[in-house]
Amino acid sequence: MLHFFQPVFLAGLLLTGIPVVLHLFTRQRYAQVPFSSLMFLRTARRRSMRSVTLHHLLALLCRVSGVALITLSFAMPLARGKPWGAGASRASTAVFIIMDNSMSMRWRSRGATTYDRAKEFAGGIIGDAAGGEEIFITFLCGKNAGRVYSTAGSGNAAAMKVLRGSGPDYCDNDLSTALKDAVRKLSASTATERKIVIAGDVQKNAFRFKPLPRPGFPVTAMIVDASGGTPRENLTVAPAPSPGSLILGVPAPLCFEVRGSGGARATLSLIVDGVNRGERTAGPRSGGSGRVCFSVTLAKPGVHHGEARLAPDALEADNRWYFRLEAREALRTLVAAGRDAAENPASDAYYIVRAFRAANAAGPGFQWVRASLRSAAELPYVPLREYDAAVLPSDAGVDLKGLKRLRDFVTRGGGALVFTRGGDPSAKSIAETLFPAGAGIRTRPAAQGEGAPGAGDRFIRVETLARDHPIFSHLGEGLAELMTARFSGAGSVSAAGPGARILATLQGGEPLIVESRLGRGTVLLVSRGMNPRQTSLALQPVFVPWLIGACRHVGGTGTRHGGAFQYGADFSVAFDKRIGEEIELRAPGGGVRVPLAAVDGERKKFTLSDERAAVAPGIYEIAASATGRRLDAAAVNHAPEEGSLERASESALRKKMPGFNVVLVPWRWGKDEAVDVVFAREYTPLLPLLIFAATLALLLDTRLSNRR
Amino acid sequence: MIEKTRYLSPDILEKISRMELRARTVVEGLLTGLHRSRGRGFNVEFLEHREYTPGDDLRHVDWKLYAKSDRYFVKQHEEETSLQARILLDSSASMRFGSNAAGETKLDYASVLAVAIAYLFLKQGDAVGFLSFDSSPIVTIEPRNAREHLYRILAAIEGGTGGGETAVARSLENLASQLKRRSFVVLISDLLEETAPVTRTLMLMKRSGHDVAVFHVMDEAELTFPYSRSSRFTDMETRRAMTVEPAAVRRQYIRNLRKFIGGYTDFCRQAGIDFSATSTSTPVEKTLMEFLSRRELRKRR
Repeated sequence: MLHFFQPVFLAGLLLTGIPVVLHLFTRQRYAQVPFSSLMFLRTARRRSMRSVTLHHLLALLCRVSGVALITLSFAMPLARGKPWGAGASRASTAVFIIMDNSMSMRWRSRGATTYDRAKEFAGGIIGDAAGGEEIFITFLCGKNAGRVYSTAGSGNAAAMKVLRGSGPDYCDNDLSTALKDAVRKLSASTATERKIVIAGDVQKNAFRFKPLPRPGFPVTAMIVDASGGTPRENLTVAPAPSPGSLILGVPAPLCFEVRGSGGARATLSLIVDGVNRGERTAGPRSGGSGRVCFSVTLAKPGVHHGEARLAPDALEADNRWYFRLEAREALRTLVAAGRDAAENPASDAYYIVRAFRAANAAGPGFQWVRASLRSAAELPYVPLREYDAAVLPSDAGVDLKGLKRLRDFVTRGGGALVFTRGGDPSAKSIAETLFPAGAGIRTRPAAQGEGAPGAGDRFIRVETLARDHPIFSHLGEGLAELMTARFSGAGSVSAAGPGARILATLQGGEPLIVESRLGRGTVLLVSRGMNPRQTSLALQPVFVPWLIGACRHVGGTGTRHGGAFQYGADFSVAFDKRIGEEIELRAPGGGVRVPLAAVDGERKKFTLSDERAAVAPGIYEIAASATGRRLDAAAVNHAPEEGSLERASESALRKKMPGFNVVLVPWRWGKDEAVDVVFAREYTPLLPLLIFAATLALLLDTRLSNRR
Repeated sequence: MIEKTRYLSPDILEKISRMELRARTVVEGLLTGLHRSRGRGFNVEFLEHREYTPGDDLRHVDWKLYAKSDRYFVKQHEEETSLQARILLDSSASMRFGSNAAGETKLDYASVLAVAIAYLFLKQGDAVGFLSFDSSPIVTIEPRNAREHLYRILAAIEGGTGGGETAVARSLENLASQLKRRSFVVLISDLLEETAPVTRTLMLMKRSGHDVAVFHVMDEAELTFPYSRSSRFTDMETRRAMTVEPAAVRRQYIRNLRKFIGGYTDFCRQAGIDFSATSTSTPVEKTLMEFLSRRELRKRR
């Protein structure tokens, strides 16, 4: 049987039509010769017509066959067995099959997964193996990863059984190790034809290893692309920032990002605690991503689990995103002020606390805030992780230690709403501690007598507002009221850099509200205090919804409520060192128990790497290993690279495998063809012959032309 | 008839002069080389005696010698010079074919040959007539033996038009019907027409007692067919065209041509007709020389 390594070049056979078309449609230009008489030519012509036609046909045949042979030589034909009638027989062939059973092999097209096709192909090799041929088979993932099965040892049937029982699994598919195993096995083989067959989907991820050492003996590495080479249809789902904290009974958005190369559309379903909470159609534009948001209302407090499921899609491995939700009964807000300050009408805390009370008077809902008063001196010692947001009044007087604590809180996903005032001595420390260097916050030193009672401060109004921002967008008609508020002419911030976003400015262009991200959290800096000496806003009705909106914004923009992580990435587990036990990751059914670490701290950072095969994406419990006490829950998701399918280029494959005769078997081939290739004696024996034949054909054509 | 103006045209006169000069050169050179150019006959000067054989005319018996030797001898004389010759020149379109660098056509060659022969006859005192033809007679000049008669023939040749299809057989038939006494008929043609009618007419003439000589004039390109490119050949007489691969047909063409010439050669030999196949690349004097030599040889036999 004849096969081609580069069948795409067979399209070049269409070029053979060119000589035919030229032959048929090109009008030959004849010299016009007046001649005395045609009487001797007539009979001569009749007799010579046959030979002329024969010459023409021969020349045409030469040209057509010349073009065809050159095209065929590019298509790289090969013949099975012993094309030249000599050489080694099939019995001296050793084949080492590496089955890539990574999760990307679950990519489904035309009713079968890539792994189904790879299995069929490998099964064909084993089934076609005759006595005396050595077949080895190994797997990259799953329980059989790293084990080598040999037909010489256990027979073809046993190898087939192992193959049939295998399936795609999560793993770090270490192809380089498998290849080294293959070289080691084959080097010990006495077979004259030694071949390695990698049955996979030729993903770039699988070939991210250092170039292998040269094998030291002739070996052909056939990389069978069973994927069809079209993972571009793949869609993947990942979390997207979702504003707002989850509070019991309050609808909150939960957003996801669907990525893909476009064209495909799928349905994204949200499942929380096993209940389907809605479906949305997702179909990203080409090369882009689409944001899909659900509105979630949780009725029970505590931790909830769920998943966003994308279907249908060709590759299921990256179609689910598991998450962990923690529903709060209210927005838990820490106000850094003592009780005295909360009762002092000259203090910011007085107005802030009363605004929270006014909001809570309406019952559970958007405004529901549980505020805790803690003096600035207590700040370094308060367990901040229990809060969603921290509010610093302008007269709180937080020291540097407290500010650093607050910075850690924000960095881990908390939020801070910080009020300062003109002449505030701590304004500079606040700007330097709670804002990254790139924010470029510049504070203004207090002028002489500025801020003192009766100093004759002038008042200015708001000039610009970012009306679409969440701290303003919910105000509606209240925005007009906000615009009428008066503010002291002396503020704490003179300018902000490109790393910060100015949400409101006062007349003269001075920033009033500046927002910046710090780690996973958000900081809002207001350059005026919230007391009647600094602003009339504290006395206006719009102050209540604005303050609640601002707290909710800073307390909910982080990803803390997601509680999910990706395999291979760092994640932190918070636990109390008093547990006195090792902690472990447990599957809900109890089948998987992965020890994480011994107890030695409050928050421990972990990375799941070696346990990949055991820890498939899903919701896991974090529990004390000895008592089994449940400490927390973790949502484990697919690794980032598992969602980005990208084929490795042929040149990259060759670079990774120097000294190997690398042959990429096209996915279009059926099992029989591919198996033929495996047992082919030579891969390019016909190439030189074809080039020679093409040259001969063209030379013959030239010779015929000259004869005429 | 030749028009007087055309006859006196300076161009024609110039050409005539050149042709006459060439013909004279050819003939004078020939005569110098041929010492016994005259034929043998019974009607002029005594040449020699021959022993009487039964059937000889008794009038030619030399009775005086009989009286002296008591044996019968017959007197032989030089041939009669008052011969009437007719030169037939083929002026058809095919005769206008020429391939040499000088642009000389078969007709040019044949014309010089015709004038040279005419000059030869006139120099011997024979009467020469001329007929130019293609598909029909173009110019007919009755035989005369005056030296000035050559100029009429020259003018007729130069002024002749022609250019139609060849009709040798018909022209010979016409001439045969006009000839009242035995004549020497010289046909100069490429004979490119059907062979059978021509040979039949030639045979008829020969049987009528006329002495016939045929000059078959061909161009070198016709003989060798030296073309290489695929060409469209147009028949100069019929204007019909034919696309031919020269390389493919050359061998067969030459074979056909040789068969054609061979057929005429065989026929003429059997019929006692002088047949001279020549090409335009052969000098006229050589062609004429060979013709005369052959003729002399035949008479000696």
